[in-house]
Amino acid sequence: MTVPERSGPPLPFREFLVKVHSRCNLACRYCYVYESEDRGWRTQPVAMAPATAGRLVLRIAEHARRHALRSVRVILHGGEPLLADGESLARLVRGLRAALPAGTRAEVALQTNGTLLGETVLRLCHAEDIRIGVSLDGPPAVHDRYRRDPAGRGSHARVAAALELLARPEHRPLWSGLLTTVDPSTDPLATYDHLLSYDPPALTLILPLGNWTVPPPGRVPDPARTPYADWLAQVFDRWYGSTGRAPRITLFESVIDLLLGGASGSEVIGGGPSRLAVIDTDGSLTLSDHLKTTYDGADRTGLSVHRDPFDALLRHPGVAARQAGRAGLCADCRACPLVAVCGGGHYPHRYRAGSGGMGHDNPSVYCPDLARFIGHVARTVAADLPTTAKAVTKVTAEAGRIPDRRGAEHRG
Amino acid sequence: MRAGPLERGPDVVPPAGAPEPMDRADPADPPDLPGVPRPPDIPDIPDLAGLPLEELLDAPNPVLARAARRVLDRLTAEEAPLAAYNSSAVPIDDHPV
Repeated sequence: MTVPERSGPPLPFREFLVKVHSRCNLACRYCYVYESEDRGWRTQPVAMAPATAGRLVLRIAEHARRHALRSVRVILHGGEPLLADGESLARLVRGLRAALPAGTRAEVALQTNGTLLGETVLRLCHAEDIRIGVSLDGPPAVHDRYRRDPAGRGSHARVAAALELLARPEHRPLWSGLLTTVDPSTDPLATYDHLLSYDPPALTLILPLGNWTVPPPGRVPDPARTPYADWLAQVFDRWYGSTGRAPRITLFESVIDLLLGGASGSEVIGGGPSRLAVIDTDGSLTLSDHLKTTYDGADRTGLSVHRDPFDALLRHPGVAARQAGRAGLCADCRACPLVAVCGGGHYPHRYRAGSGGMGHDNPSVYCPDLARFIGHVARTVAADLPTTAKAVTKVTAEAGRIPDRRGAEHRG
Repeated sequence: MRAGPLERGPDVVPPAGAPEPMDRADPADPPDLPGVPRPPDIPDIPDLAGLPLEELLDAPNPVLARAARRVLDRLTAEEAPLAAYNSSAVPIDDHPV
């Protein structure tokens, strides 16, 4: 297994994160848009203007046509996307599907905090074929610790009501899953059980954004302490050992797939090339908005849908860096036997002010947690193998000893 | 201090019995590259990359069987990794497993 080395032309974008509204009705304490280093939101239009949305869909169609894309995924995002009026969302989605070439399918999703999700929104999503992801961090005591409105009121009750609605049989096909930010100070199993109580089709567990300069909560320099791995391992064991219905969990599935020599399903692990473009409400083409946690302006490129095709963004060094695979990692990571699985971790987590590689020439700030968690998953799976597949060797600290990843390189 | 509608109100009083929240850690020292902690010691980890995937398709654990199916399917599929904030867990063009 190896993280693919990429050379040659950049890979076209497949996911387009569209900031349809730049403000939020919550003031979550960990929000990477409003509570981190970047101040760009202050100068953004509150909502994407119809002319900008119209230009955007033409740019996406242009990109799909130029690269003969079979499908694209457009994620309606914010701020809180449901602060945008429904008619403008519908117009954008209809315009997108009308503009795409016949051979390109559009998946459209929105990622919401759930507080504004009601029957009106659900009618819109049914009519326009928009799938819905909802952010929920756990039971009220966990969720409301961070996810509050500007007056300090927790949002759990409103989200729970929305999820009960979304889980009804007539609406469930719209539901893509839950997005949960891991808080290692919480009880992992109580959190997981609460999330399961809504019967989500999928669960995305995301580590808090942080880096070497501004570390995530609880991520102390001592590599012997791995609060995130410890939290994840407990949830993994419950999930892996479940005999009943369990949701898909991208992080867990990706680690198993990578250990088996496959590719990752997520940009947060495995080192696959990022295929994501982010578009602000003013039409600016930006890099991942997660880079807002590194320094002010880190995600900005100076490009805009009003002037530039997405191919111009493909040529930006910030995109190349996230498509570079193993060649884009620091020397320590390239020499590490686990690099084929962790892939250096999530790009924003590698940042350290003043270091090379645009500040990303470092291991992930979560390196100790990733190493411990990957080891836990590998041992759990190894102990569970059918007898016929038991010929398991050990990965050692000798770099390059692990066989090549099956299929040699990410496709697409 | 934030301005406008995002200005925070008073903090919520944590419910009784709630664990102490973990506040964001203090920023690290100013750039000091030699100070980046050494990578952790990597314990012996089983190497599963050479296992016969076809045999894993019948693994008793459905999670493992589905993983083998995914890896086999994706060897021939065109797809991209999911954005970190995508909560669908289904990569583009992935086949249901």
